[in-house]
Amino acid sequence: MASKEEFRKYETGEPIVTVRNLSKSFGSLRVLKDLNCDIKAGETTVFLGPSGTGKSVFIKHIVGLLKPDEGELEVMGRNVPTLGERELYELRKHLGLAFQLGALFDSLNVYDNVSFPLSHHTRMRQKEIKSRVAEVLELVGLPGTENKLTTELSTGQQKRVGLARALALNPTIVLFDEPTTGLDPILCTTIDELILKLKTELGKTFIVISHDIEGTWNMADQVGVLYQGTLLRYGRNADVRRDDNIFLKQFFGRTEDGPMIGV
Amino acid sequence: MGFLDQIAKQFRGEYAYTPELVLKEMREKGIKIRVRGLTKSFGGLTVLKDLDLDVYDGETLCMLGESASGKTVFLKSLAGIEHPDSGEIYIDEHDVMNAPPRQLYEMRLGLSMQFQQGALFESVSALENVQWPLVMHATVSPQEAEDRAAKDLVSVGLTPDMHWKLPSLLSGGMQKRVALCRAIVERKALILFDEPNAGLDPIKCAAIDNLLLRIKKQFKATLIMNTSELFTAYNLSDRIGIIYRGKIVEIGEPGSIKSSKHPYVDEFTRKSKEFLPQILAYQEELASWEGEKVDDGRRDSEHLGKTTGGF
Repeated sequence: MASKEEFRKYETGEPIVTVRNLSKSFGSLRVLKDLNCDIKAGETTVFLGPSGTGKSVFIKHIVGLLKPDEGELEVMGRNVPTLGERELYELRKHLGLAFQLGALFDSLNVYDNVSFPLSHHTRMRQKEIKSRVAEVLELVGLPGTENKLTTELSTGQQKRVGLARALALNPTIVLFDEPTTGLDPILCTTIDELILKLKTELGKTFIVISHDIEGTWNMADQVGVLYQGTLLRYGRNADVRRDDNIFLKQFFGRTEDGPMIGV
Repeated sequence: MGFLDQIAKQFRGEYAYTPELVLKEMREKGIKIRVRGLTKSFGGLTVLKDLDLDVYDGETLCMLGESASGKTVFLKSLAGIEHPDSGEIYIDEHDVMNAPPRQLYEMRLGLSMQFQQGALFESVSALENVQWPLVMHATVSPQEAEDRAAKDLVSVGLTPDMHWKLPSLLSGGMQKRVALCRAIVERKALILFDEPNAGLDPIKCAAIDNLLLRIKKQFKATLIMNTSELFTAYNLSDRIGIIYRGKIVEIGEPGSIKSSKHPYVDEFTRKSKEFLPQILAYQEELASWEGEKVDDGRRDSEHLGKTTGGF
């Protein structure tokens, strides 16, 4: 059985996630329609698009939280929709998910939040966990904050703790849902640079959902623009940025004039 | 501070103004709001530090600044919700810091505020949320209140089938617009907005910006707006104030902020500078666009939960 195989290492540029004709509906609303794309290992792929176009739904398919109505989705050689709970559990150890608002346990301190996946998914000793937590907190630029309560942190710091928790298990793929939404321009740049740094230093694959267009130009290798459940454009950063499509121009020009309805 | 104390201070040259003089000067110069030496700390953390500001009647002022720089505390201080440790706030004829409750209430009747998280009443529908201030202040008949609220909701793109939904059944962008409607429904002369378009996608952002522009033109009200979105500030404001560590480090017209040499302001606007030409070019190109809008079918009421059916 495929799932018994070891998870192999992926070279940079090799497709690590392949999506074929993925479709998903909720009631009469078709959220994803015939989605096709390859996400390459060792790169940052950013998915843009207006709210309600299925970006989060897509990410939830990758981690197996939702099952598609039709189509295939392969992550690290595993056909996700066909996996059982046990196999999904194994796969998810290789995926780190950082949520929009951090989704931290606010009754726990930073240490307990970041060590949560370690104490639940591994047999590491307390001492090892402690040094791993210190290591990932250092990576996201928050060394020595272990004993702080998450409520004492600013929004930007909370997002970084969320990212540290996603990195704790040393995943191959890091999925980041709206890393910079609601942050000011300076904090946005900090987070963008952090993602760039982690990609280059650790060679991780980042799949990011974002509304922040400038941030995307700064950090993405590959950009996908989702609109009405399909990929309007999927290509290299520079190509997408200069694309002539009127939908893209409206989105990148942040204006109400154009085919897309604002409100 | 007692009146005699003020006179004594004035004699010693420590305190040049009495409230009466301040108000006189404000009237002469058309200043609606005057803030002097505003300071507020929470525990050991000083959020506002000796902040000075004049806001002119009828202007739109955008306050930019990083998260936790004190923007919200500043707005709340203006509305008399937060009580600063020291300093002076004058709005119209009111000395906000020393006003007795009754006067504070009257001052508040002259303004409305949109809160960052919306602060909508979760147990009543969108329409009831919007008509709430009209009903509470009993300025118009209940029927008129409902009509006005409904009209405003439609003007921000919320069709009548959504009016009777609970806020929790609306999307984040819709909730923002309901909160916005509640802030503008009374057409106050002073409206405070706290992050009206944070967390929305670029096109919804633009839609809210256009809505705020319409409000600005139609009402001739004084608008003070906190935002982290540079483009919103550039588009809407007559003046932009940059707040950093509880102080206003730079204030001026959008053009002067864009070209500011202040190191912090430069850092704040740097990210946008590189991409601004492309954005402006696209905006110009699309301004004359006259094609049909694509309806993506997501505004159908069937996808947005059930209605509450009124009271």
